[in-house]
Amino acid sequence: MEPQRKRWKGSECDTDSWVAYPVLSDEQSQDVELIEAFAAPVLNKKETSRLVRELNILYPLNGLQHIKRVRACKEKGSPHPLEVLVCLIGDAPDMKVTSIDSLLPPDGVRHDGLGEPFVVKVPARPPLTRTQFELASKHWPTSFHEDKQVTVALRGELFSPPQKATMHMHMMTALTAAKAGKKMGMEAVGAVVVNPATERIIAVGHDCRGDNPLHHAVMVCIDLVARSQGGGCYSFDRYPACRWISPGSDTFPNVPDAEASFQPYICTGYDLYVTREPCVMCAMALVHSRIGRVFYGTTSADGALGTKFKIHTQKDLNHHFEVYRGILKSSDAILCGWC
Amino acid sequence: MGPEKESKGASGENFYPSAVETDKWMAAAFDMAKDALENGEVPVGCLMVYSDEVVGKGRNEVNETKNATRHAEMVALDQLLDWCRHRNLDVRSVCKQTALYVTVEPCIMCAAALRLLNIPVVGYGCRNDRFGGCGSVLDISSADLPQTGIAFKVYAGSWCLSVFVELLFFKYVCACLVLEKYYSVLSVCGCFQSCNGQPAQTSGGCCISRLVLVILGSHAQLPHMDIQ
Repeated sequence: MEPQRKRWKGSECDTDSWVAYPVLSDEQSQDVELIEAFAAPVLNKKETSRLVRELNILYPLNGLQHIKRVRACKEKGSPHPLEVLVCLIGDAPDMKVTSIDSLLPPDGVRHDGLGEPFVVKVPARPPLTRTQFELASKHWPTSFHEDKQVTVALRGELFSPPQKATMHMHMMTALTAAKAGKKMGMEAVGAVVVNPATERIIAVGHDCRGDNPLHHAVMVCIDLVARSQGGGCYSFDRYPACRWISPGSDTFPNVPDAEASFQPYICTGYDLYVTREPCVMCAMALVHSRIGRVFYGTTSADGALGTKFKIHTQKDLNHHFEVYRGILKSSDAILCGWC
Repeated sequence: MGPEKESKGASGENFYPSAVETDKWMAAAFDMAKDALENGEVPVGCLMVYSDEVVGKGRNEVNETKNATRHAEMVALDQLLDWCRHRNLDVRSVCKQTALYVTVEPCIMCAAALRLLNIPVVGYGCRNDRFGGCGSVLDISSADLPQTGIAFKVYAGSWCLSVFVELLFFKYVCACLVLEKYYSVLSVCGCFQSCNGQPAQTSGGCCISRLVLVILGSHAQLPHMDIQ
């Protein structure tokens, strides 16, 4: 976890009033897809390992490695303790009446010890989250390689109270910038770029689209970061709330030399706090800029980090990042009013 | 709606550049791409054309500005805004009749920016499988995004056999490899496909010679950046 540099001002920051939830990929968020299969009761428990071995040869469950072949019988007091997955319905031969004889050719699997088949539903894909795992397991036993961080994040418990206090503070800075922008006739959106290694703010920006329709808060911040590295192509001098610090002052006395001499490269490793979900342009600008993580307050109608697209999880792109929503959302109703 | 329709005097929905115009502007966009490569940038160039006049031109300037969003299209859009400001013209009405010609399919960010400014027509040379926002990775050009300007029409370049033959003939293997990296080789702009699906005009020889020169001219200083 990150070093906790800032003092935790628990009484000043009402961090219990909001929860940061991760914005996960569609694959991680979707419902459990099921496919139909034939299962059969194992009448003679001693035959189980032979049956599994022979069924695996006759009907291999390709692409369904997460499915367990055998399950304990659900009903208590059932005459047979185990049930085995015979095959997917799609893999079964055409037959007028479903029977164990028609599913298993006499030379393939000796089916003494098996009862008559019945239809079950099994999960088509390996579960990626605990929620998916629990839903999938209701249908058929499924293995699950848990990503603990995702599990904790989905419970809204990834960030400790001191970390939330820091996030709260950065989002307040973004809100203050948004207010300043609004006073100058811009849309009330603010953004802050932070180096999480030092917890220093690199740039603060707000919407400036009165000058240029493309100067959304995120685009302004990206250029201010460029400015902090000796580049940049705009001047936001007439907006006092838009500011940047040079990386020279962003040193950290206790880090090893190798890290201290690290040259910042665009937004690599930096966190962005933005009051509302970025649009497609800004979201992709963050991919190009190699942002580390994005934290936003509320969603937006055409948002590209969760609402309309999830550009941060887009498979074909060469950079991905974590996104968390809901920062200050419920505690600061004014945030919602602005978005 | 045919390709022969001139852009001059055209307005709104039936605004289409002609094939001859397209070839002319694309050649100029290649010159911009060349300029980018000579300056250590990813070779992408573009032109914004309003009423037969270039109102913005840009090439990649990501390395120069240390701002990864300075793609050719973003640079050209800024110029277009300046052009309108100096002439006191309404940005929206100018944009509505402006076409973009760009050597490579606009990325997702640029496609969204073009929507935000209501640019109706985009012609590009080759696909961008890594970042393309006009169908290759995502289709931002036609997506349902009511808060993000208007959808725009896209004309994609098509592969022309003569270009490939010419490439092989000169044994520009090196050029091919570089092209493959930057322009996913088989879709280098040779000829331009018009809106009715017919190849508009074959000027592949000219274009590819230009491109090979671009590549060979500054092969030594290829930037280690991703194609935009």
